Amino acid sequence: MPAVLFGVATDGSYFGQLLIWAAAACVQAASLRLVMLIGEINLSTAGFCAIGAYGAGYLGSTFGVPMLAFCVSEVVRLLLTRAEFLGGNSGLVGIVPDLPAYAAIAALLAVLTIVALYIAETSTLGLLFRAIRNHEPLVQAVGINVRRVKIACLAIASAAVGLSGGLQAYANSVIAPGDFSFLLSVYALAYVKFGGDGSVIGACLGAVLLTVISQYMLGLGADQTILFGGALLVGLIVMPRGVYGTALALLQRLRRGGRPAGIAIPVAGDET
Amino acid sequence: MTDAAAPLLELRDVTKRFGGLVAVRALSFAIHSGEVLGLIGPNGAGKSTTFNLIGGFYAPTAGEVLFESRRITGNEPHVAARMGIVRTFQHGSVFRDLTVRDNITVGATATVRGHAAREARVQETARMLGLEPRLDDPAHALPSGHQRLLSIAIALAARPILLCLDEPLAGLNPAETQEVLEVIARIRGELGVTVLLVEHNVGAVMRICDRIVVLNFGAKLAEGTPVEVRENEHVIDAYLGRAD
Ligand SMILES: Nc1ncnc2c1ncn2[C@@H]1O[C@H](COP(=O)(O)OP(=O)(O)OP(=O)(O)O)[C@@H](O)[C@H]1O
Ligand SMILES: [Mg+2]
Repeated sequence: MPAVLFGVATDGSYFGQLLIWAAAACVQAASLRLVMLIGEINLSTAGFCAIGAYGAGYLGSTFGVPMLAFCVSEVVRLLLTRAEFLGGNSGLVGIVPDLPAYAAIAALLAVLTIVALYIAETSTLGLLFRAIRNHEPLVQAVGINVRRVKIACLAIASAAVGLSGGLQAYANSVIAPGDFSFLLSVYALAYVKFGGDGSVIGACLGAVLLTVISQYMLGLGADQTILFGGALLVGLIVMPRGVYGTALALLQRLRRGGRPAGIAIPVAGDET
Repeated sequence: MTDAAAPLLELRDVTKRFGGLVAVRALSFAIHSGEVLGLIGPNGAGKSTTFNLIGGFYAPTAGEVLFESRRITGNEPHVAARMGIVRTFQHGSVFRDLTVRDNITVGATATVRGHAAREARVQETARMLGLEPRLDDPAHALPSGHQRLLSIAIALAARPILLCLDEPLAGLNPAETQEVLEVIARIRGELGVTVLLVEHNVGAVMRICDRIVVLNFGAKLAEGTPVEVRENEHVIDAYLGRAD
């Protein structure tokens, strides 16, 4: 960790890159969490991500949703290209000229996207997602077209993941098929499970932590898959509520312990 | 105008097979507007399957279902619900992790447009079922009597014309049973909702239903008023038993 921090302090472009990766990871984690709300784990995150970044290839997946993801990421890319124009230098392929500026834009886009996902979660639509997870036939029985709600969920999540793919692709400069392996889905799952699937904050915390640690490990020449596998196990078995959820629970217990435990403070006039 | 004598819901020779098993066999009966109709019979007689056929959860192998004189066979569940056929489920009919308020809100989402109207609907439904003090509690924290009332509240929030209740009294104590029965009576009396009731509590069924259809091995064994059904020899042999 100190090495990472040192790297951050001394190398602005490294920090920029890390920020973009972390931002993209946060968006992926938040998107996956949205899909998990309806009780389905979307291991095709990587697939959507690849499509978002590539804009090429197969559109055969679920209900044309990837198309939407593709469009969103294209819009993002166009915007970014313009931003880059303003910066004065434009190379279509290759090294990003002004990484810190781009990183700032990427982080901002990521925050906006995550806020949008949060709004979706707390809206009536988000309520339906959770209802479907609890009792899908009952949702149908009161007149809701569950298929359409699920498509909406996938569409929103996919659009966000597509955007994250766009962010990453641009930062990485070179997009290779290997970037979007099946592993990416597992990574996203690890972010969410490790950080805590109870809230958007937990998912994002997991994404940031694992991104930073994995980059640190990469610097040491270690294999990242072990990290993500381990993080998944921790999230699934050791801390089912994830780092954030567990921390919250601990904090609550501490706070309760701080006060005279369990004794109600009498209110004036309460005793008569 | 529709014919006043036409039934609200009609099953015509409806059959449902699961592989070699005939769960519902050439079943025909009708429900008239404003009625409380009981559907009774031994375990596995095909009562819940009949609910699934009416609500669009299963497509019949043969026969047809008519609602307000329109053929609804093969409609999807949400379409049937929007037409006014809303049902509860035998094994748990609430959203366990959601609050009572959110449970009822989901019930109103498809059929009540607009945020304010929906909130009013939730309040009004909760008040009618006595759930107002528990609006912010999660459903899983409610005692079973309240959970049962909540399952009815969810269905009622969807503005049913025909409300299908699958064993709403199962597992309730006498006080809770009485409370749910009173609610069913009010649903018919105050809201004018037609009720189709599946229930093993024969005493309660006899008291609350205008007519009863008895199923046995998927087929209709008898149909009539509670008194007629209670005195029917076939029904006594197959289901009620002899009180001697
Ligand atoms: N989806 C299904 N697949 C296969 N068989 C089924 C299915 N649903 C019901 N059955 C069978 O159909 C028959 C009728 O079942 P149903 O659930 O309708 O009975 P019921 O009258 O509701 O019984 P109970 O009083 O126990 O609830 C049973 O033999 C059951 O095993
Ligand atoms: Mg049943």
